[in-house]
Amino acid sequence: MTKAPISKALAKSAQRNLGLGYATPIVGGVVALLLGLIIVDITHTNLDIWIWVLIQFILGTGLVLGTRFATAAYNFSLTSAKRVGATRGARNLNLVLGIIWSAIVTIMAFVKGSDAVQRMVIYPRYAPVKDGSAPTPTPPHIEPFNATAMWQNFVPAFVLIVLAVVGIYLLLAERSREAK
Amino acid sequence: MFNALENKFGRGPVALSIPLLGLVVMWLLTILGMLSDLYTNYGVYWDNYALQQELFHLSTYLFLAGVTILGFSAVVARRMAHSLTSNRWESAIRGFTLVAVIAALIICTIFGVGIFMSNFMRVSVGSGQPAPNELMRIVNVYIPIVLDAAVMVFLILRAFVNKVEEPEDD
Repeated sequence: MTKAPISKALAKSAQRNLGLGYATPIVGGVVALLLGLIIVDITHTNLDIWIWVLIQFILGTGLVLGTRFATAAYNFSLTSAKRVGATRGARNLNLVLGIIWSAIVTIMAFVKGSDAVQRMVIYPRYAPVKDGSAPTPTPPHIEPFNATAMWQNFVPAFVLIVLAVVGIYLLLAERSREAK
Repeated sequence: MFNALENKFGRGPVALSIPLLGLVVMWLLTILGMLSDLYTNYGVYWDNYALQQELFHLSTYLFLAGVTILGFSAVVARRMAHSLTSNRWESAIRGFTLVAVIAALIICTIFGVGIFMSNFMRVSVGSGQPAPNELMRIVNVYIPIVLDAAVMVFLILRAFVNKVEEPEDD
């Protein structure tokens, strides 16, 4: 007599997990995109690399949570042999999105690192010449390392590669979580 | 080599972490390579390709070291995870290490072709420019391509041919 309500509660919980498995990565994506847009609209500037780190962190968190919920629903349907919906689809959706996210963050870390290096090159500004003669060309010079360049350019690029590595680890761990 | 770590954290997590750490090291070496490139492309060498060719390009060897470390770490992890099949977590790690080896091989290929293309196109025969320094061309172009090919062959043999703990097929 007591088994049926518990089973019903578990099935309801699995259905909720399945819904969250589909919704969480999408909600995470929307939150991250809106955050980026709001910051652009408020500051009227291009996105700072630290904002990109935050956006990728939110996207990654949404995917890890989505994978966790989808795997929980999948495990329930596997152990109880009850259909609660397209559990395999939710799990595969999170897998595909996770692969795309991992690739994008890894590539972004390399691109931003390269950008940080190129920002050390200072191109001279030519002053307008009054007598009509051509300005003497001056080669660009390399700025020495300083804390500002390190913090604004190099550290966020490194954080991006660490974020990718941690994200890949967590996505795999959550996807392969066994049924309790 | 990783016995202490395996005993502490388990073979699976260690096998998963090694290629990921290799990726971080590759990123660091790539950035170092780009930094060293600055000092051969700017300053007195700016816009003077003939002069740039006379220099030893440390960046090429730093990039090569990066892809080599990524490849070696992937192969070490692949061999470590070879016998992991008992549950979903271990199978996932095993699959991931295979993907890591394939990704490392693709990056090695792109690196080798990249060196070839960037140096093949730059020598314009009959353009009146001075001929590049032969010794530096061998050091900067030929040797990295040979080393890259050697790394790829080594990775393929270690990952797919010379497997460990393989049950014998009768």
